[in-house]
Amino acid sequence: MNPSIIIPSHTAYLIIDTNFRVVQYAPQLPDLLPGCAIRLHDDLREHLQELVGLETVIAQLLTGQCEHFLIEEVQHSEFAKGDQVQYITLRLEPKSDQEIWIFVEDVTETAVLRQALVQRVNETELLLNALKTTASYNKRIMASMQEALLITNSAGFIKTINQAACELFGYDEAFLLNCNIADLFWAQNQAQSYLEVLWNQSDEAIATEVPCRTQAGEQVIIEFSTTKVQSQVEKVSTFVYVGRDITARKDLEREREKALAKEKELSDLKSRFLAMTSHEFKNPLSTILMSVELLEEFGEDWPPEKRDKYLKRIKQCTTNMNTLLEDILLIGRADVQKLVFDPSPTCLMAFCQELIDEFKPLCQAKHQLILESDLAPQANYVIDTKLLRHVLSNLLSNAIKYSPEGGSIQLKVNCQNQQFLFHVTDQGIGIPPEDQPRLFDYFHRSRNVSDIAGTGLGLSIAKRATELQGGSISFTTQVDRGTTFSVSIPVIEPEE
Amino acid sequence: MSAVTKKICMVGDFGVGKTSLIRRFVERQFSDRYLSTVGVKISRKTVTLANDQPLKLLIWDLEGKTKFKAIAPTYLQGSSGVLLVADATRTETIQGLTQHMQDFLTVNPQGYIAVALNKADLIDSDARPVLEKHLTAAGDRMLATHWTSAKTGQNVDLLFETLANAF
Repeated sequence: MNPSIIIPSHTAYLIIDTNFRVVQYAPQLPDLLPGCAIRLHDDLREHLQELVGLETVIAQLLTGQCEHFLIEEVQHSEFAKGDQVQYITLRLEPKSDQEIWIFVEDVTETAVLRQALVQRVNETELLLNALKTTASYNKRIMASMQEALLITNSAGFIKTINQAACELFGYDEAFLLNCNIADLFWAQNQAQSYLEVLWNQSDEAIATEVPCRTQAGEQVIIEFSTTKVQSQVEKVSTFVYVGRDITARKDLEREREKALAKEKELSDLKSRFLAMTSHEFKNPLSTILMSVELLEEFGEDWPPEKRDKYLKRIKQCTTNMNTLLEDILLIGRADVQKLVFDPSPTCLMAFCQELIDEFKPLCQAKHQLILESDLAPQANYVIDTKLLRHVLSNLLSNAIKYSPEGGSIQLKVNCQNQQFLFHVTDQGIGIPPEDQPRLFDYFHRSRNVSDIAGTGLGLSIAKRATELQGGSISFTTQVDRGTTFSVSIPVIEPEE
Repeated sequence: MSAVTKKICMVGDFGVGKTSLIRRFVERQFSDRYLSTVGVKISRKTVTLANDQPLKLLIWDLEGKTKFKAIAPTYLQGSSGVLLVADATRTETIQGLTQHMQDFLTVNPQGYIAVALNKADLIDSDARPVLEKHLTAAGDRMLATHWTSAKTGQNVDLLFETLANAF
């Protein structure tokens, strides 16, 4: 051995030849590797398997291609006692061109220490990795949620939100994270009561609808499902809110309710219409049937005057039924938009005078039927006489009918601001305030009509006919004093 | 007939399951507890090759690569083959395999390589093709890539046999 080399106690040496045969070894080697029974001339690879495959390395060392070769911290359980492991480090150096030094160092102490350190560092790294993966996964799930997610502390202050929450309320993340959830509610004075409902939602509870305010100041209806979760601190809760914008759904519900109400109204109207028409037809039909039966039975025995009386009654009933039928047909046509506005040049005053003349026979002595106008008597105007007749004849007929005490009935016609104005004024029974809002509804009749016959369709027809001409109808009335109906229809300039 | 002895190395990042794969292959055991390897531990197992010849494998379980410590090239010296191991649940360990492969081929240009994407039991089968795209290690020394699980034993024998039969 070269005396210049000082070998520390935890190190031993071996010398091998080119075939890994042990040529020499230090006396302390058996103490260093207690389980390893190395003898001279042994192939060292049988004892130290870390040398297997190092033939090239040995050759390089012997030829001076490398100065040394190090195999660090090789774990050997077979050399150690019991369950312990031993770590050794081998340093190979050329001794001559035929022999190699192998320095064996017991590094168990440092390796075990390093193992503990590496174990802790790697465990921490793995844990950190897992946490990062989980956090990123959770964040992706939260971001992918269509619903808004808000997590608050027990006082309602927002601690966590997702992207959908920012989009829903229109605020950025920094703003929302400084908010109390109640600040988002529409009705601030009811915030506390909403919070109590939300905080007390049980697992089975259905979601709570809360009107909220967006950054743009718009109201959105949010359906919140709330879950109470215990926070890191025992007995302190956090609240997890999952909110869904149901504004569109609520609007749709309202529309649907409106449509249902309209449908019900129509259905009611239809029922009333049917009841009314059957009733209106049934009375004259009964009268006709009864009169015919009487005439059949006794006609031949009756004096001619009495027979005429019954025949007149039959005629009257038939006329009434015909009128009713015409009204119903007219309304039906208006409803299915078969009634069209078809104006043509007409002498308006001649038309009105004709109408007044037609109504004169219906008046009694106590009625005075007056036509007033400042329009030129011969002037032609573009009007739809058919529609205008429906309007004015119904108004005049009503004026006469509902003036049982008589009085003057006036049709005033003039033209102002490109509008024809027709005023039909009577001194009749008037319309009670309660009936006024529904006056133009089908079959609606005022409560003060007593036994004056009528279908309740006349004013509906008048209104529809006015509207078809682009006009409007209104009235002023006083009970027992009289009524004025005013119809305004736009003037149409004649084509050149 | 005495068996031929071949050295193979297990190389990969820390915590990918190199020690667990050896333990499953040699001792038929598995433990969930993570015990980091320092330095190197050599295990032995004799396998019977496809041609009925016995082969003694010296399996070097190398300390995993961390950001503080790289794989020591001296461990790779004289190795006939390498098993590159990645944790399929940690994409970066799959991406790191290319570097490990290059390190091995620098020392042993004629060595054989097989890849183990370990912890396959934790990965849904539909995620496998996506993860395999991260695997860019390739070349004529590359034998195969196996989805392995030291926990269930899936493809563990196949992994070692793939390498053993190449020698």
